[in-house]
Amino acid sequence: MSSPILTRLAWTGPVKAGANLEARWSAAHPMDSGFRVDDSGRQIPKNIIHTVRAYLNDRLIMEADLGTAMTSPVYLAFPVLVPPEGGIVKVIWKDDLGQMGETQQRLVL
Amino acid sequence: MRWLLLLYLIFGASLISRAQGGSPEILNLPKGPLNHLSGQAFLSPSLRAIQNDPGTNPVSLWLDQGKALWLGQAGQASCAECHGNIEKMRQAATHFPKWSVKQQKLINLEDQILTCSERTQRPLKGLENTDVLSLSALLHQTSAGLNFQIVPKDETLQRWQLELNEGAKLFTTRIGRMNLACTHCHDLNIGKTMRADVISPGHPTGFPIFKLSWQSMGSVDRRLRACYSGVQAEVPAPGSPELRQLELFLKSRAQGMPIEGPSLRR
Amino acid sequence: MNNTSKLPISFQVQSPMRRSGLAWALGTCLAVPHQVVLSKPLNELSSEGIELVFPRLADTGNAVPFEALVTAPTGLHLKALKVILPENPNPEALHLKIMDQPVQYRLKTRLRLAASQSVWLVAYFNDGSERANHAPTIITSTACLDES
Repeated sequence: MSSPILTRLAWTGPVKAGANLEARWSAAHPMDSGFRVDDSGRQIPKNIIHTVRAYLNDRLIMEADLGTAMTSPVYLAFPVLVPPEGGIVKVIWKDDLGQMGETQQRLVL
Repeated sequence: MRWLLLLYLIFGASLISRAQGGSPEILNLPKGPLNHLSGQAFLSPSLRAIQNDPGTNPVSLWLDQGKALWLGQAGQASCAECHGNIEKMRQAATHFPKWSVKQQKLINLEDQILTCSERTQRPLKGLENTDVLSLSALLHQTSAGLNFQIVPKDETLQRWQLELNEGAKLFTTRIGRMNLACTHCHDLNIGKTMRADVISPGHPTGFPIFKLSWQSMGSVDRRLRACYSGVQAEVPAPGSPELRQLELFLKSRAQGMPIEGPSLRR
Repeated sequence: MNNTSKLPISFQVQSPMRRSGLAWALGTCLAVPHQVVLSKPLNELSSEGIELVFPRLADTGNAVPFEALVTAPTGLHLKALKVILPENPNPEALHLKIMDQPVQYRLKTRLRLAASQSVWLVAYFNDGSERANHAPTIITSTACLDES
């Protein structure tokens, strides 16, 4: 049973209608590139987050394909334009083992 | 055994020469004695910037989880049910390692978290378990600014003193293929570069740490084991008495230095 | 503005087979190497409108902070961004697709580098055109093979 993948979604800047916020998403996924070996010399198999999708009020605003060069924890900062009615930003991730995760935060005007 | 001689020559040479002191980025280490500096001083400006912003600091992930666990939001039993508000635990992290009469050994904060979790419906396993480290991070953050206050109870004083003596002995005993004692690097060669990192005095004020070379959070137990590996000595198992003894000695050595809360390290 | 004069000597994005050959030789690579498909060599693309923030000397290869601010040419908007690390076993670090048709986009991330190299940022616009810029860095510890 693997330990939970900790994720975090936050933004900088005041949340106002029309504001361009910097959303910061990070996930403590091991991001095993497949190149490292463990203490006994065995190669740790590749398992990275390969897809990240960001939704604003259920509408896809960003989709990222990640390679092994992304750090652990993954850190991605991208712009979010606050709609007049505010709403919810949701970020989902998927990894090579088929695991998925979701984080959401409400944009409170 | 020529490689051994080569290794000795290389290391010997670096002991004699005064290295440039640090990774290529200028660390701005102060002039004068370095032995009372915490690991914080050995971070580059860019790493310090990452650490100082909760939005970019990897440690935030574990701190958030710690807070969620404390309040019982993450599906586990809530620590607050027994311990109350986190502020009540302000002194908690300062008292470890302590001598456990029940277990007849030294225990550190992570050991205590594991023991506490056994009283709940979902006990945690493993010192480096995400939830254990998250709670350790939260508790150390809560104690940030306080000095280590390792004061043995009167009835365990003698035993505690023995443990401390052992720790001091371990710190000054040569081990491993590199035949080095902790003191050789962490007292005598502070500020010099080794293995793409800068040697710090080794004060345990920043634990648990997010170590970039591990790409994860780790406890002082893990870091000490990595030290054994670093001098090519046989690595003790997690929780071994020598690791707790060393931790006790290190915290005594760091008397007067405040806990910094969970920190970022190279 | 072209950057041919600043092109690193070891830049070889057009030969992923050499990259993968090296990786296989090291005996540690199991991942299928990514092929970076481009319309023309990166050094022939204009770098106008692409500002990169990347340390010249990275503290550690394990986490090198990277920032890109891309402004689309007048009349166009951004469709996607790619971050490429030519000296890494898998050069394509990130392929970010943008849905909202912005004229400006700020991306920040942290990257793991196998060796000292230049990071390349390729911007794709709605008319099919591309622009690219790069920034060099030197690292002292490689991210990919460290076991400590």
